[in-house]
Amino acid sequence: MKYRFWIYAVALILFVGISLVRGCSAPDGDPYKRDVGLSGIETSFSLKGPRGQVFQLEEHRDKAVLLFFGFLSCPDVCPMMMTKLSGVYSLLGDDRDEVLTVFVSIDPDRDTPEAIKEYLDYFKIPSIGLTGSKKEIDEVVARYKTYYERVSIDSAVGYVFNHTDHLYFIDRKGKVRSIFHAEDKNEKVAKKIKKILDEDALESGSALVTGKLVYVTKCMICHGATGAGDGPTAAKVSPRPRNFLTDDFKFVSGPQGSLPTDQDLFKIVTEGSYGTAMPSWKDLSEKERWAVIEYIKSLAPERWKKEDVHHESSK
Amino acid sequence: MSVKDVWVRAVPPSQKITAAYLTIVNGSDEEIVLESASSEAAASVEIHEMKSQDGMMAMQRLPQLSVAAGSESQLKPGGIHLMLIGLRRPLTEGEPVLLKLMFGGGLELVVQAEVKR
Repeated sequence: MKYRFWIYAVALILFVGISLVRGCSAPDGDPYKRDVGLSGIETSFSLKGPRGQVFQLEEHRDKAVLLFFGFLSCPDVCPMMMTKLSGVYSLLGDDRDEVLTVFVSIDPDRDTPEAIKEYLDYFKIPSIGLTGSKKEIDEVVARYKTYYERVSIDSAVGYVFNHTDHLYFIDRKGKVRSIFHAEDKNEKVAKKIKKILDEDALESGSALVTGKLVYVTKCMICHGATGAGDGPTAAKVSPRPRNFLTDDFKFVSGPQGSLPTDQDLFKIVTEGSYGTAMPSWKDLSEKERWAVIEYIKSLAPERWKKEDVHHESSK
Repeated sequence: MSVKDVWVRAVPPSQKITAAYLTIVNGSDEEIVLESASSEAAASVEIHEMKSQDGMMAMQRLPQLSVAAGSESQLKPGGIHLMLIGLRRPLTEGEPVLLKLMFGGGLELVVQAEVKR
């Protein structure tokens, strides 16, 4: 008899144990893990902004992003997170405007776009609040490998959400570089963000240095020092060398008149242009070819500002 | 018994919910129990606890809060708090809020909470 009791007891413990684990499991049945890892998070998504407009993360690649999920009727953690972000932003100093905070509401039934906007504006940091249908929000939640559950509680507030405290730091290329948590000190968060921003600036800076070296030694003689297609030999070649500042580009994968993608430019640099004086530069390393493309685009930054966003991922 | 460090989190005017924090010091040799609370600024006040387990935050309502003899209980961000639900007016920084705390044994205490971020 005693023996049987223990079997029941163990079975009960197992059952309760499994129920507890299941309580914290992701929708697909995998146990919820705090350490979601940085790789494999597909960050791009589209939700609705404060005036109901479509917000696509990949259109905001001029800034790095701090993203978190929450709900407005959360009196404790969500304002804590916002207060924390205010603190982090003040520590960021000059880098403050390099980082956009993105808040995704998981409570579409209660949080209107206007209320979200008012809530965020209150904390005076560069931010945007997003919402969508439950299905749309759930898709984003799944992409970010995070988790929430709506729970009814015996309270005048009705229901609340159990949710994670992940604060994702996403770089300009759309890659998650760090995930912070509620208990991380503001100083630590700000320091890490500054470090990543500095590294990235250095990397793109060094690409420009390499690119300029390539440009000056290989391209400038025809395309000119400013990229206006007016180098010393320009007058002697026909057709005239491309003016990168104003000319339409002939070889574009998009519609005629659109700007070439980085891939389009890479193809021309690598293969040359048949019937023109543009030779193949396939003897340059790939890195040098990409770098010179970055440099050429930097000659007319306004022109490439928006397009950059769409073609970054095609590399 | 005394209550100190009482404050309410300032929220944007349209928000209907916020949290109050305080420390209950029980200098007596008997346990005291906070059974309920109310406020002129909110339709209802409840005791809630935020629990974080492996980064998963879960909020639950507590029926009451006991403070053992000779100890203190801190209600602070990320832990136990009083939840003010159905705010009757915008809470402006610098304009205090009154909270009424009802303890076991019929003891009532009205405290003034600072409103701050």
